[in-house]
Amino acid sequence: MKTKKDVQPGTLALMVLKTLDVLGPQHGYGIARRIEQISGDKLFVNQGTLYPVLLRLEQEGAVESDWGPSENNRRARFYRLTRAGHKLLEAEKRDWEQTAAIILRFFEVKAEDLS
Amino acid sequence: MKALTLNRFVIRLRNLVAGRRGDQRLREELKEHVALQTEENIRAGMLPEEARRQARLKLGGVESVRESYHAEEGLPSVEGLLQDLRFAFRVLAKAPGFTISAIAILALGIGANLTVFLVLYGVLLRPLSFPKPQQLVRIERSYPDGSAWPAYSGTQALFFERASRSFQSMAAYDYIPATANLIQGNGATPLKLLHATAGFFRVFQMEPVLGRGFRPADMVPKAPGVVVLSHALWEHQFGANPDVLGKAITLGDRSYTVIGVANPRFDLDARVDAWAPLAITENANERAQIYNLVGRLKPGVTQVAAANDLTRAFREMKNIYPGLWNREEGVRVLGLHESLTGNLRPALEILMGAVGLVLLMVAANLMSLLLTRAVGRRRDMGVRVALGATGWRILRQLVAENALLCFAGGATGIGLAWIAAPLLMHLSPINIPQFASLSIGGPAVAFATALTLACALILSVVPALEARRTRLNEILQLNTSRIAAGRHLAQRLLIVCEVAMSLVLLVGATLLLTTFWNLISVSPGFQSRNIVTFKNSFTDAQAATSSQFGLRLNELTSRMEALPGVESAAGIGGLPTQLTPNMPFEVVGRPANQSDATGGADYLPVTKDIFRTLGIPIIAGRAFMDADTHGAMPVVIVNEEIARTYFKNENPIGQQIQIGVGMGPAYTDRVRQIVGVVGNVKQDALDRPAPAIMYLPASQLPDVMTRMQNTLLGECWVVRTRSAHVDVLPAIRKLFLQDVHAPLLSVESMQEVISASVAQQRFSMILLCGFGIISLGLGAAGLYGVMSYNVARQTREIGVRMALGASRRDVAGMVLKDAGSLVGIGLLVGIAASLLGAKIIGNLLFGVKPRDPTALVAASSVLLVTGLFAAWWPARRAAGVEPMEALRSE
Repeated sequence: MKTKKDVQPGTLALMVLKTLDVLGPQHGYGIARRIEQISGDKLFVNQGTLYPVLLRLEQEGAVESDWGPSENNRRARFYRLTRAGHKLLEAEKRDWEQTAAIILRFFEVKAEDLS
Repeated sequence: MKALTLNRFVIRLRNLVAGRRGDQRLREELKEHVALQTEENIRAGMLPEEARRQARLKLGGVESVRESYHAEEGLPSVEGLLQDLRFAFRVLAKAPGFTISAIAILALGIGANLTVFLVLYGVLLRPLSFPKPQQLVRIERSYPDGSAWPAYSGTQALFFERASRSFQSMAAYDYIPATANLIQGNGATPLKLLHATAGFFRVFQMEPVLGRGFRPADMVPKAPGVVVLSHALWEHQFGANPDVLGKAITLGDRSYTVIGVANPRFDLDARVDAWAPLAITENANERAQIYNLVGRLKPGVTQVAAANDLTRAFREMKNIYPGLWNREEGVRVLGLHESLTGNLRPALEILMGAVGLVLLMVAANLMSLLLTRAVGRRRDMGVRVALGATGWRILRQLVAENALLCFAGGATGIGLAWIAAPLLMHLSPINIPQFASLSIGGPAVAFATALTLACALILSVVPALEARRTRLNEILQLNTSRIAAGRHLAQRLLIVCEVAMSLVLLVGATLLLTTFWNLISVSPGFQSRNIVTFKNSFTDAQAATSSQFGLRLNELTSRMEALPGVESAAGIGGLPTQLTPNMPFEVVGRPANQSDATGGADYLPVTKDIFRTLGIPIIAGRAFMDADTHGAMPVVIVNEEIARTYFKNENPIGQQIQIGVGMGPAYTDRVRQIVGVVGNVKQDALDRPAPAIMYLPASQLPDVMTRMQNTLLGECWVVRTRSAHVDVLPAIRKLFLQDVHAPLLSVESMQEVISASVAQQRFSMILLCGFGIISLGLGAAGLYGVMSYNVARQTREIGVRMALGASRRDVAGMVLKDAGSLVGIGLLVGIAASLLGAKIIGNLLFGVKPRDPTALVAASSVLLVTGLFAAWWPARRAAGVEPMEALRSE
């Protein structure tokens, strides 16, 4: 059995937002599957954290949810990005890129660069 | 981002308040989730059964998902707190005995503290109601021996006002408000009239709300009389009618024009109904020291700088008014607030200390209670830990219980104080109107809250210790009836502390009780039974000359003595234990440099029958006679104190003295012959040595003294009745109204007068005795609790001992010995503390030393007996243990 990494805390919300941004309205299971797929099945989305994160995003107004029919016509709750969610995604993305860039520079730094 | 967070908080708060939970929605979502996962697993080739199992596995624990979902939904911290409180409430409700006693103890402690705080705050801490009260100072004479005297002559006051540089304004006013009757139609209402200089209202920065204050022109002698009414008088006697301004009113036999109505908040140190301008001018011969001096410092000037400034002015005065200058005298400047409350401070501070000790005992008692309870609940706590509660969670739970207890105790305490404080004020000797109102306002509630929080904090030490001991195995395995040694020690220490604190309070109470007993059993030098006293004030015309005034007094006396039920009656310048004027005198024929050539003594103009009425014994010579009239030879009767001090080896009878020589010509009396010596009377106060006293026939006084006596003090009367059951007052009232058109003032029995003079000591004594009794009860309850608990804990051990042959006596003895050792150690600590702290209470005592061994022994015995009594019940219970049952139990 190959080992899967849990999603790092704090990054799940960003992944959820991006998934909804790219794929449009999704139910919880769909979001989890897509994240796992996009990560090349290297990530394991813990449902115990996914649903609370969705709730939090909804309370913050970044996503909206409503009941709708699933692929096999059962009732499922679909989540959709709002305008505030778009803005939040943009802001978080910028933040993340900045952080990543900084970290990257630290990894690439060599002793002679600092002398 | 911020807006989003806020938005979220609002939603969560709403969920919390509405108790809304998205359980249903989550359950459906999860069901769908599992269904979708199962389908996908089937598509991947699993058997349906296995597919569902794997889907479930992947989802993980549904409960934990729900927990974290729910945590996002509401506000878990607040919810947890509410839950804690709810639970604490249930726990406390299930142990009503514990809860009620804990709340009662707390309420007692907090209530007592709040009550004393209210008095203390009202008297010592609350700022005066004048603007910038810290600038207001009282100016007093000081002497090298550290004593001070507040009264100045008018000349000195005016000179200081003129020559000082550190004051914005300064004013002099009557040392004692005069009494004058407000005449309205046929009625006469006695008023307190205070004469003050023009700057008076300006000093306090509280000008009349209606009309105006005084101007320098009002102070010119013979200027038309003007008066400012107090707000209360204006409301009660003039119906709050603004038209009263400019109207003429009659006070005594003078007419005054009303020029203003004072601010209702204008209150100084005694009730005053009206203010009139003081007609004084600088005059080298005017030396009567009868005025208080107040000033308002310039901004930034300290009291020390002001005192230096006045000392300089006083030196200048040496050249201008050499007669008013005195080498020994200095100037003291002290805050007005301090000067008004200074004499109450030591007593109140001791009370605050005492009541603080009571609070500490309350805390110790509760801690002991909680410790006992905690031991019984350890298994309960262990189970909780086993179920996953963290130490923090348990601590929170226990603190919530304490907080609830303290809150209930604090609220009940405030209620208690609300009832007790007015009662206390009623008892108290503090009759300064400015301080008289006691209300539970902001500061009091803040104080009570702080106390409650402090209690909760102290009590939380117990659960904190408890939470630290959450080693699971140990607790679950431990038999509840055995406890660790450390716990035991803590409880015993608390008991020792309680006993020690209780002893300190009891010793204090015993000392004050002894003091009070000494005070009321000290012989005042006269017989106070069956004597009625009252005062009245005569008009200026009635008291214009001593000869007429003396005749009038004699006439009133004889008419009173003619009334049925009256045995004898007399007038006197000042009642014992009340204010009495003091005058200097010279012994005629002694060289001026001899130390017993001059002196000072209380100065009491009296009518003939004073010694018979008060029962003062005549030691030598004679009493006054009808023949001692204005025209006859001037005579004086002195008391033993004068005879002993000034005529040690001589016969005082026939000696001559001259009164008031140093005070200027107007006050200089004729030479008087001593015709009698009478017993000493505690004229100043019961706890002070009997002063030197000169008694003079009222008709023989210099006219100026008669006038001054009448304006300042009025005339005091003592009437001895034939029995305690006759009421002669209605007849006397009628007599005075008819004869001199004057109402009677301050009608009191002589015993009431004496009792009022020791009111402060009585107040301190009652309070400290109250605290002593409370502390005794607390100490006994604490000891009882600990011993009972020990006996319960040792039931098995006692069973073993008895099985091995110990008698019931031995067992009871064991418990009593244990209690005795705790009390004994506590007593030793308490005695040491009492001896160390003896100085604090020293100046409240009379006739007893602060380290009085009798008080120590008495208090210790009371405490020991109470302690052993408290331990007696547990001891009996221990003796009643049935060995077989004890061994089989558990």
